[in-house]
Amino acid sequence: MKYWWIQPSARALVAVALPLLVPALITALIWSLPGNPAEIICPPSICTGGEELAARWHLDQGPWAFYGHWMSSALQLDFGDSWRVLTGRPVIELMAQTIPNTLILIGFALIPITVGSVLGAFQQPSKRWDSVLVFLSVLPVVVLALLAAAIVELNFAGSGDDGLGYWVRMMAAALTLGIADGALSGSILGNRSMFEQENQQRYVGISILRGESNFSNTLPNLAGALVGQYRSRIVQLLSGAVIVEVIVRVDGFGALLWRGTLMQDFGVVLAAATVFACLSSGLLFFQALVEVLQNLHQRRAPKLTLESTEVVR
Amino acid sequence: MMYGLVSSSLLFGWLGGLGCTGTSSNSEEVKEPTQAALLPQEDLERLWVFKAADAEWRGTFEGNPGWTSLFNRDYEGALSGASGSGDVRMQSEFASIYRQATQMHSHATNHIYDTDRQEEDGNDTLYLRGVARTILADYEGANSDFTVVEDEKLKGMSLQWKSVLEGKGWTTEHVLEGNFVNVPPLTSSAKAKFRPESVPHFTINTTVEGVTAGVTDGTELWVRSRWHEAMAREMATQSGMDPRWVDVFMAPWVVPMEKAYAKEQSSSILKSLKDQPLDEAWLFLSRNLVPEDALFLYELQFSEQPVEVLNTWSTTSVLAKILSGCILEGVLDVPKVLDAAGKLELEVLEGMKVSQGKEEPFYPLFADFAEQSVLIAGVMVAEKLGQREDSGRLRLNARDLALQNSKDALFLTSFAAWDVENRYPLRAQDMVHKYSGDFPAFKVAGHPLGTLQIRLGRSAGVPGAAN
Amino acid sequence: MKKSWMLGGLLLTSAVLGTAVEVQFYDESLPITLNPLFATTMVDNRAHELYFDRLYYNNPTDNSLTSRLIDESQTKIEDAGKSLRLTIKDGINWHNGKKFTANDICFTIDAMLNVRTPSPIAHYYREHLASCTVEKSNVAKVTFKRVYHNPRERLKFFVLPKSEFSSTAVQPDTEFANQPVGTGPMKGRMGTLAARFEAHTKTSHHSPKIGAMKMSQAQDPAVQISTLRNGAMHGIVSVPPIYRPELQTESEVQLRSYDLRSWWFIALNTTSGPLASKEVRQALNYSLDRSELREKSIGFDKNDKESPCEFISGPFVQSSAYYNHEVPPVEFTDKRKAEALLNAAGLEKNGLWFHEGKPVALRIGMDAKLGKEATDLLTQIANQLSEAGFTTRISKISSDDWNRKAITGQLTKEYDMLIGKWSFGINEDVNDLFQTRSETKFQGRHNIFNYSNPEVDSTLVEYEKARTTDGAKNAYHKLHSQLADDLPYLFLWKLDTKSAWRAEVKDITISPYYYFTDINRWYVSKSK
Repeated sequence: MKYWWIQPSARALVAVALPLLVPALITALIWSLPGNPAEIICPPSICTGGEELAARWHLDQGPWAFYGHWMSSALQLDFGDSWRVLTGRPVIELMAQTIPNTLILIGFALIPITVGSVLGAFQQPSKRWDSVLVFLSVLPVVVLALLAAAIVELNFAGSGDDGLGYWVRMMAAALTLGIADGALSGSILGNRSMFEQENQQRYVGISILRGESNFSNTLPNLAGALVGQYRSRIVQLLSGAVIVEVIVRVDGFGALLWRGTLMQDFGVVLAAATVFACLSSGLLFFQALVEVLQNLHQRRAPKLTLESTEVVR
Repeated sequence: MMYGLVSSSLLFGWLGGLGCTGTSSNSEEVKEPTQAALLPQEDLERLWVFKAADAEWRGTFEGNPGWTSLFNRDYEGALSGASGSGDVRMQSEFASIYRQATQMHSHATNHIYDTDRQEEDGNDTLYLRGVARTILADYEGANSDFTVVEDEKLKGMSLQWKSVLEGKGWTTEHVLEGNFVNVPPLTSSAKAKFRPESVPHFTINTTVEGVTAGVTDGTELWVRSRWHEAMAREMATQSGMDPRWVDVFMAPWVVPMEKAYAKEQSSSILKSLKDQPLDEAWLFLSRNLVPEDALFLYELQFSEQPVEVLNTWSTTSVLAKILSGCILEGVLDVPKVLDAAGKLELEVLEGMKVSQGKEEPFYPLFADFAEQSVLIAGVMVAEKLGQREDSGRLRLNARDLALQNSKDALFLTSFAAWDVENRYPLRAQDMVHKYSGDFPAFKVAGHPLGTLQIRLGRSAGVPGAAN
Repeated sequence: MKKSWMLGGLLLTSAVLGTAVEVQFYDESLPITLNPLFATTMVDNRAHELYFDRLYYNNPTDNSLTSRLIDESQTKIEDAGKSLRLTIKDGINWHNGKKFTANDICFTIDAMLNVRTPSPIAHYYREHLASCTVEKSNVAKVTFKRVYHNPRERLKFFVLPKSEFSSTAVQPDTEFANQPVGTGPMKGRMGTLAARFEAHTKTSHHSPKIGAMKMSQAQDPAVQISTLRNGAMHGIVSVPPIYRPELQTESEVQLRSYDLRSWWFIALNTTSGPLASKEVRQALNYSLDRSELREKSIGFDKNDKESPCEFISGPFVQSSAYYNHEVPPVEFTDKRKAEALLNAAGLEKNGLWFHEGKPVALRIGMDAKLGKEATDLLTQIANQLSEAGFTTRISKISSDDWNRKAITGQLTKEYDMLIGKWSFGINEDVNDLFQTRSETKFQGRHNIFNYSNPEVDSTLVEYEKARTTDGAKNAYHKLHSQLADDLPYLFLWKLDTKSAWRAEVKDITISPYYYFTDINRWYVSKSK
């Protein structure tokens, strides 16, 4: 394909634009709401210091000034203060408190998915287990999360922040994420069918006859697709994490974003959405890079010896 | 895949299996040594609450409409349904309750026209304050108030109090009459009732021209209480009971102006009644657990050496025995009292089950009386020892821990009076409101509470509504 | 083999990590703010009582006015009763280790007097306090605007640290609002899921026996009760009434009274469509069966003399002197009266009630935290109104939105009815709830739907200006009648609050209104 470079270039462009676009959109949203943005923090009926507050929070010079100031501060990892969730608390502090929990959650949730992917690549389990996998795939994340929450709350309601209660809560949430909404089943079934199809390609048969392993041939060809799948699984986990963290009451980044959204805490929403955008950008870049490497590898002409060409003739 | 399935089911199973663990979170784990039983078995079996497990013993009270009503805390029903010694008991309860209502009224009135006096309060208020101060045994203050009252009618009303002031206390020779309440004759029937009076009783002039204020007179509550007391004595005589048991019952609840007189009588009463058997009507559903408790609490009211009284009575009175174990270096230890009260309730309950070989649903209702008795007696001991704040803590606990059937209106009225003495009318208002159906004259006591509430609230200087 | 290793590792890890040691309890919600100048909810007040000290407070048992901060033996009244010279006790420190001085007292007073501090609480103190002067590091002289016979009664405010603020214009949006520094028995901070408290022992005036506490937001009532029973939590500040009878008989848990005057209401949007008509509001009043609501959502035992729930017909509890007993509450539905009123208001019935050709649709909201005390109340009310011929749409409002929008009158376009609760201590002043809102005059700050009635306003002024106690009482009796007729609220009931604490938490005294005043005494014992 001549224009193979278009797709990875497009991905790279989107990856660059996302962290700039997302906060711009949110800033536009803030200014599109009725009333003065400062009134969200300090309603005039209960609060008379609105003007000072607006000046302090750079809300008094319009959306562009606010956006510019916020972006330049964000580049220095200063995301401003929370407006409503924990008024006055630096958002970076809230993020430092919650991101590790989300990373642990996603990390543990990736374990069954990764294992599933590897098993699928090796064409395991056999198709007689497909009905079980299909059943697992229809379990919605909300239902599993509620079950996990019920078990955890009834036993560890007060001790979810540390010790045994914390780890039980995290494990329950991670398992929920890793199994529900087809996360586990999808990784097994998806990879199994992908590798199954690829294994049926002629070149694979030939490579086996040549005494090579099929993985060394199929893997480079499927690398891009595999990374793409993993990227979308991670993004799925991130979005699922918001639901799971809220229901199972994990003090994570998703729950922070949820709370910020409900409370119109644009300080938190801006920062959290931008971080998600940056993460997504990073994954997009990585995928673009893998695609480029994969295509370069595919287009590398193999070196043929005189004997091999004579054999072919 | 197998890993995912097996580990997830194992983990969820493990989580579910943790159902009974919970966390035992103790900030300061105070490890207390294992304790022996609070009471030996022979003492336990003397308690009326223990005996209440026995259907035969209980049968003397069951089926009697008066006692059934009292168990259900229907005081009006208990009074109208009472007969024999039960009549004496109920009249004494009412007399004591209205005594405490009188005290409540007096404290409220004294605060309104003294500590919380306002610009609007004119000369007429001095009559009301004088009456309140007399009842509260502040004879000098009362005298100075009565002396400067200008209104002729009020002057006339104050005359009957002067003899109490001169004698530095009330005795049975002082007959105080009400001006607004129609006192029924003393008959053999306990069914006579007061005609409901309207509240406020009368109006007084304020310092604001043309403006009057409605007020109630504490004398009316006193008169009502005295009538019930007289009825109790009359019923006692008719039923062959020594009427001085009424004195024993009422001693903890008399108002300050009669304490000196009651104390004068106490040694002779104690001496005469010590060897007399106590009618079980004074025990059943009461604050006494055994007959000796009644005389212990009686002597306690007048003693200057409460710890000595506790020690003296600890061999016979169960309450004295328990509370003397809660005294540390002359101070009543509130946590010990609370623990002892709770422990006694559990021991009584267990004892009832063992003695009858079964558990009835009403056993816990009776056993709760044991806890209440210890707490209420603890209040009295704390007050005698000058531990006013501690008596408050015990009052709060007694109020909170009582089950529906062991809620004691007399104790709650005295708690309300104590609160008002401390210039806190809200709890008292709630109590008076809840029990106004059983004690219609509570609206008389409630009137100055409302005035005090308004004055304190308007001068509180803090915001009102919170959500 | 691999599986058992993983499981074993997990178990070992959890054993090593161990369990935290702290007293944990549920409150209605998390505090909105930990800056006491901006307290709006009872949760705020309770939390502030742990983090801060009030300059003077009432002892929760004997109500005596006392202070942990001031040496009363040296307090002097001066300037013919207009000033109070206060001497601080030795050895009192803030949570940050700095010494408590007279500067802090004067800073707090100056902050309240500064009109640039947008605090509703400060507004009340501005009426009484004139100034504060630091005479020595441990002596402050407080001057009042007039002579009070007991000036200490006017000094029951929480004291703030001067070192944590850059000016006396204290704003609500600073970090202090969730990371306070006080002199109270507990220090700590608020998190997203809980407020944490840790004993403040490096000071002479507090010695709490409980090392740490954690306040979590109340969950579903069944979860709360279950976690209390199994020991995962130690206490619940407000136990739903429906669960009280079963907890009363348990030996592991004790029910405690929390003395607070609370009453529930349904605020009506008198600016919205058919509700602008008094007859329609009166018809709604007769359309509700309060008895059924009480039975289904709260539970009611008619044999219980001390039933926690009692109907009201006006903005006071029945035991209050302000309550007008001549206005009876409406306990049951009266369909005939309701229909007559709706017809008189010009509505037509055709299955549903129609106003100006459109079916009457009522948007009903409820403060979300009330759902934990009265289960399904919102649904029950909606059902009853549906039966009466109205279309309903229900939703719950978060605590945050309730405080910022509902009570500040910003939900007039979104809702027709709002279900809420007001709580009072000794001050039962209701002017802020019904007076025409005016930001310049600081009036009607809690007027939910911006209700305005000149007659009611005039009665409220009558109350403010009353020169006698009876005058104030009569004014509020009149207000009660007016409101029972005009119905900016449908008054529901007063509901007593009861807390539940595990038996191993000992020596509990719950102070009226502020709850944790006596926390120094509380302790946790192994034996129950």
